[in-house]
Amino acid sequence: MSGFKTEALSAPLETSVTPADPSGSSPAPTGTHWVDLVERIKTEDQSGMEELYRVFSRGVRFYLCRQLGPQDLEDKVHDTFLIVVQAVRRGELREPERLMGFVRTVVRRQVAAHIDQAVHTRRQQVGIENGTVVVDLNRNPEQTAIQQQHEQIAKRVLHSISKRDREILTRFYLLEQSQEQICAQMNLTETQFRLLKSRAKARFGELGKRRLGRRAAVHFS
Amino acid sequence: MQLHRGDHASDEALELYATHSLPEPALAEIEEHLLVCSQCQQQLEEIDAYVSAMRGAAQRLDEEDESRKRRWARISGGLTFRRFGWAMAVTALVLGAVALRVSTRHSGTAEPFALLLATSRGSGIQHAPAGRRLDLSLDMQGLPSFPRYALEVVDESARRQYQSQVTADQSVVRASLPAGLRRGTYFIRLYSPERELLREYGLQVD
Repeated sequence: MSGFKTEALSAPLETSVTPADPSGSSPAPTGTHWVDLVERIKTEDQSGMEELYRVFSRGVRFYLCRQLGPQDLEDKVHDTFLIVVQAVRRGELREPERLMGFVRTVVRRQVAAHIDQAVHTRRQQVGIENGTVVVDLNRNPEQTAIQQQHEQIAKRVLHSISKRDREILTRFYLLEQSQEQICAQMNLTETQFRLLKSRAKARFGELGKRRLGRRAAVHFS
Repeated sequence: MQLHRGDHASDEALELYATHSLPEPALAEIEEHLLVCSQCQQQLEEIDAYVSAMRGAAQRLDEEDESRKRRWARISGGLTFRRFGWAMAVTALVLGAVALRVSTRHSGTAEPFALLLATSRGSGIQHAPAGRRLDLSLDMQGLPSFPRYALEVVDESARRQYQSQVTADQSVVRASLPAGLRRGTYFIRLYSPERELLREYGLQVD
């Protein structure tokens, strides 16, 4: 699948998910594998710890960076694995085949806890003094420039469609209304809605290809 | 909605995830898959970028629309229906008054009034109607002859109402006042080229 390249939000990592497929594109391991992995972690088998990290670190890093930004990312990833390992060793994972779900739960709780802490800290602060660091989820200048280019292309796409179609896409992407709500209020069928989105994406890809050259189109198959 | 495309998440599911529109339990399924599938992570990154671009563009266009609406509201705020009606009424009155004035002025010039002004004993002050074109003939008998004369019409306060350069034709100087004169007392003065007053005629406009 080709597509335009943006800076990866996460640091480059080993891509293998299972030993059989080092490309990282194979499906997740099966339940039996998880049971074995959990058992090895419980017995403090070093290979179990390494495999846990290898399987999940990229995904955990991806999730945390997407939700909280790149600041202190490694610490947060480390904390997540620490929680998972300690919980497994304490026997808190009652269904080892559900290790993926457990890791997901831990990561989501990490995100929620961090957001709560950030809100609490801001409420406590009287004012921002010089030199106080505020978490910036924005990207670096290159990523910002790429984002602006994409926005200009998207603007052209929105300009090229009817006012009604533009309203539909605005409701979905900006106002985050559900497909059902939009279809009900705008008197659309599900097929019409999908077709409109698909055409907009295709147009975005065409314009991006023309404008950005090799690092261009978004292809959605 | 198709959640999977083979062993991977479908684009539709990822887009719903990117726009926070994916309900449970599909949300859990997709998130768990994303923890272990780098291909879908990459695909989600692209979708995130697209969604972010569309969101930003839609917001900019909405802001531009709002700005345009506010600008138009300010302009049209002074043009409410009632105000517009009053403006039209006043305009109509003004145009009517102008038309009336123009028509009376034209009716004045349509029928000129010819007048012979002389200063012989017993001639008395001449009378002329107001607002009509005046064709004056001034008796030059006894006056020195010049190639040209200056003619002025002044009111009783010596304010100049009309002036021109005229020539004599067989002891008569002729002049036309196309717009006529308003009611009042006037003096028609004839000057030599050196601005020497040669003669003055009285005229009463009624």
